[in-house]
Formats: sequence, C-alpha cells, structure tokens
Amino acid sequence: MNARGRIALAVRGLTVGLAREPGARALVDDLSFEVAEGEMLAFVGESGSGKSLTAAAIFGLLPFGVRRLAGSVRLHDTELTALSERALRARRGRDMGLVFQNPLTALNPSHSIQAQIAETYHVHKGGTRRAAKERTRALLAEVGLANTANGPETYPHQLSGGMRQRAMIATALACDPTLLIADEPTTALDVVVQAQILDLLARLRKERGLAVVLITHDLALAASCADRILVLYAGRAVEEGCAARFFKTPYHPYSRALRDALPPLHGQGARLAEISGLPPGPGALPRGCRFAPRCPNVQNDCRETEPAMRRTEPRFACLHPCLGAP
Amino acid sequence: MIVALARRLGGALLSVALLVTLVFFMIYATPGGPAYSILGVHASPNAVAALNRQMGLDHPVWQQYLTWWMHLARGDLGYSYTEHAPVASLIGSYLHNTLLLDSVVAIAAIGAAVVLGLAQGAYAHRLPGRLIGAWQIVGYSLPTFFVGTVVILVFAADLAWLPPGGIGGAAAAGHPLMPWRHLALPAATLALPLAAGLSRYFGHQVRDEYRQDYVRAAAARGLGPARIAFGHVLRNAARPLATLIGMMVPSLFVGGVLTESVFNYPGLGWLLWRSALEQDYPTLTAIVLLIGILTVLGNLAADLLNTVLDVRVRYD
Repeated sequence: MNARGRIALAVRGLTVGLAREPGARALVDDLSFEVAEGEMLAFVGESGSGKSLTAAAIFGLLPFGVRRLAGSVRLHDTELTALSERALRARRGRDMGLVFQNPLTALNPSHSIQAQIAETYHVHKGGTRRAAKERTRALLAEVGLANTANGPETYPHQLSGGMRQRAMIATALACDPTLLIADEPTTALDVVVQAQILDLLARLRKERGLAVVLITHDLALAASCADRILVLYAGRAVEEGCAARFFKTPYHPYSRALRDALPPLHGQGARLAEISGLPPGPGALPRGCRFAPRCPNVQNDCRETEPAMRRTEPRFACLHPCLGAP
Repeated sequence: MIVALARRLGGALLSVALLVTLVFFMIYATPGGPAYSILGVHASPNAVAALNRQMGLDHPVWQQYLTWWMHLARGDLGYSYTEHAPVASLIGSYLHNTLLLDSVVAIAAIGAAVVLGLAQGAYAHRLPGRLIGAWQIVGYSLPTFFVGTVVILVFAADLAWLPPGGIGGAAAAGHPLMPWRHLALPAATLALPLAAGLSRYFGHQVRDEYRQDYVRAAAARGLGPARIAFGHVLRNAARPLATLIGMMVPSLFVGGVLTESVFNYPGLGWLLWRSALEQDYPTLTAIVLLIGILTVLGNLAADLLNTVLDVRVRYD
C-alpha cells in the first residue's frame, strides 16, 4: 500500500439497531474502518447489507426508529457522536458532504440549482449574497457545468441526469468538506455518464485531497476506481483490503463469489456463477457465521462461532477462507 | 406566461357562460312555471296566460334566453315577488355579510390548516401528529347544525360571552365591519370542518414531502429543521393545497346555508334557504349564479397561485 495521508474518517465498532428493541440483532454490527485524505474507500454489498445506514449513522441522520447503539465516528479530530444535534448540524455540509443515488429527487424541484448551492454556503459560512453567488459560480464550473455557472437560474428539471448529478455533487462540495460520501452516485445513470461522474469524483479527490466513501453494489465499479474495498454482508464487514489485491485474491468466500459473479470482459464466458439463496433479514440471522447457509466452504464450526475480523492484513472474517488458487 | 394566463381566463369566462345557460334551462324546466308560484296553484288558466304574456314567457325559448342574457349584461337579475324588491339590490347586503363571514372563515381555516398540517407532517409518528389526526376526524365528522347548537348553548347561553346570532341590529347597520363578536361563533362553526379537512390533506402532503430525498439531502447539507420546514417543504406541499382552496369556495357556501340558518345570520346562505322555501325563483337563480361565478373565480385564483408556486408549470 502506498503512503496514506492523514486519516480523515475513523469509524470504530459502529453498531446500529432498532431503537425499540436494542437487544435485537443489529442492522449494522460492530463496523470499523478508516478513510485517509485523498483516498477512496468503496463499500460493496447487496441491498440491506447496511451500506446506506452506515452513511446515515456517520451524518447522525438515521431514520425514525433506528439508532446508533454503540461505536465511535471520528472526523479528523472531532468525535461526531459526542456532539450535540446543533453542533453536528454545523458540521453536516461543511465538513462532510453526502451525494445521493437519484439527483432528481435529492434536489428540491422548486428551488434553482444555484439557490440550493448558495443556501448551503450561506448557512455555514454566512457572508454576503454576492460571495455566495461567486462561490456557486466557481463550484458549478468546477464540476463541469460551465454553461449553468454563467447562465440564468436553472431548475433541476431543466438538466439531464448526468448534469443533475454534477449539480448534486456541487451542493455537497459547497463548503469545501474534507469527506464526501457518495451513496450509489451512478446507479441511476447510463454507463457513459457513469464514467464521467466517476472521473469527476476521482479528479476532485486528487485536486482537493478529499476523502471519499463510495457506496455501491457494483464490485467492478468499486474495483476500477476505489483504493480500498470493504465488503459488507448482512450488516457486518466480511473483508477489507486494497482494491488490486482484493480483485486478484479475495479471501472470504462471499467476496470470491461476488467476484466470480461478474461477467468476463473478453471471450465467450460460461454460465455466470451465482450465489444461491438470499441474504438473511435482521430478524432471521443464523447462529455463527451469517454467510454459512450460502457458503461453499462451510464446516461445522462455522455454524457455532461468528468469525471475528482479522486485525492484520489481509483483513477478513472467516474461519475457512479461500487460500488456494483464485 | 401571458398566453397561459389568457387561456385560463378564457376558460373561466366559458365556464360562467355555460353556467348561465344551465341555470336558465333549469328554471325553464321547472314544473308549473313562475306564474303559478306568483299567483298560487289555484289560479285560473286565463290569469296565468295573461301574466305569462306580461312577463314575456309566451315567446319562443331562444328569444327568452337572449333576453335573459341581455338583462344579465345590464346587471338586471329580475324582481323578487316575495320580497317586492329588485333582486340585485336585495342581494347586496346579504352578499356583503356572507363575504365578510367567508373571508374570516377562509383565513382562519387556511391558517389553521397550514400550522396544524406542518406540525402533523413533521411529527407524523409522534404524539402531536396523532393528536392532530384525531382532532381532524372529530372536526370533520361533527355535523354543522350540531356544532352550531352546542357553541350557542355553551358560549352564548351558559357563559354569555358572545351573542347567539344575528349581526347586532341597528347599531351595526351601515357599519362596514359589524361588531366582530357576532362573527365569532358562526365563523368558528363554519371553519371547523373546513380546517379539519384541509389540514388533514395538507398534513399528508407535508408528511409525503418529508419522505422525499431532497429533505434528507437538505438535512445532510446542515440545514436546520425550521429552514427545511419553511424554506423547502412548505412550498412543495402547498402546491396541491392551492388547488384544494380553490375548490373550497362551494363548500363555504354550502356550509353557509346551514351555519347562517342556525345563527340567524343574514347572509347569502340564509337567503338561499328562504327563497327556496318561498319558491322565489329570481332570487334563487341569482344566488346560484353568484355562487357559480365565485367558484369559477376561486378555481382561477388557484390556477394562478399554482403557476406562481410551481416552477415547472411556468414555462409551458
């Protein structure tokens, strides 16, 4: 691994569960990870694996009825979980930005793009209307919306999907945050636009030293642009590692199954490998390893003890990892 | 924008013209005809024929229709045989009273609906939301005559805080705003079901808006609850409310018939009820026409408000 910058975000033992039944199985269970400045970490997992809930927990914006039960979230030198709602609000949008999957619904349809960027800037930085306007223009130009930057007020419905996502990224960057969490930012876009948005994220990361958490269900996408990959299964991290190594030799049977389910780029492939069964819901977690019922490597001890994440590289949580040829 | 406005205005005028035609043919189709209601059911056929000739009712339908239009255009709404006065001058003071009552009711109902709806939507799963929801069901289901009677018994008879009805007799005559105390009870009675219905609808709109991604996105940008509620949610939730408020005009008048009778309040609803009982067709048709025109105007106002509120409508 090449030299990493300062750690921007450090999450330790994050556990998220239902407020009414704190004893019930957690939706996100004992999750720990770090993202350095200028680094992109990709969360990969199926729907319901806890990717988006983790993002919401970092922002302190969990949905009604869901609560952080344990764990710490540090953004640079600040412990976010110790902040009051008011103090945390002052950090949202200023120190950390969130980009949503569908920019059409995540932008207010009756406010112009410019107004939504300027409002964010004004709320955190104050200053004159003129300063906010200048800032808005610079940001729109930076995300590749030069025409909008110099044109009249533009509403979300007047932009194409890709342009909307650029505008969404601009709102998230309004106050120069050090952390950007992008929750499936390209899922609602077609492949060409998807590549453009990922290029934009890569460029911003390089130019601004932005720490990026990319949430996706697309392993190929994660492997192509992230530095490191963290695989989530049913609310638990099962493997974490450098993207290149991860793609070559995944250790966890689930990671390997995910990788093998990707269609090959060249040649006539055989029938794609699939993972039989469905991930367990939070109410029906099996004893022992959560992946055991679907695991090809499963042995008796897997159904008894839940494997812990290894503390040293390679990091994975499995009693019988795939060690042979890939 | 100008074209859209002109088109809407044209539509409104057309609606009024259709309404006038409909009202005309409804009277025309009334069994017996006006002569019988003036002379009584036992009048001799000769006397009826003579009166019909005198009133021009022996002319062909299309001629009567055109005559009626011409009279309308001059502001001549006919003559009330029961009140012995021209309808236009008869309606004036009643219209004033009703407009006064309905303005107070509309402002109170819309104000209550916006405040309660916002609270209900923002606290959808908590106690305030549930309490408001329960109040809406009760307020909407209680019949006006019952609520009216109860508030008269409590606030006028038992507590003697407010007058039970009327508009204050000679002291209020000629006064542009009658003593507000006389408005309080009928206005509250009429506003209750309207506020309940509107706030329930608006509350659900607000709740749905709060589930939108842009609200989560706004929170993730660090905007506070007040800024999100008033700066973002209110405007988007208010759009359908504007349409509903336009459609509220008829319910104001329909509710007005009952409320004004219970409180003996001399407004259009009260006059409508009276003239229906006494078969005073000219007055009745004039009121129906007036309500129709106000309804069309209400919808036009709602359309215009929508155009202002929705950026996407503005450009088509």
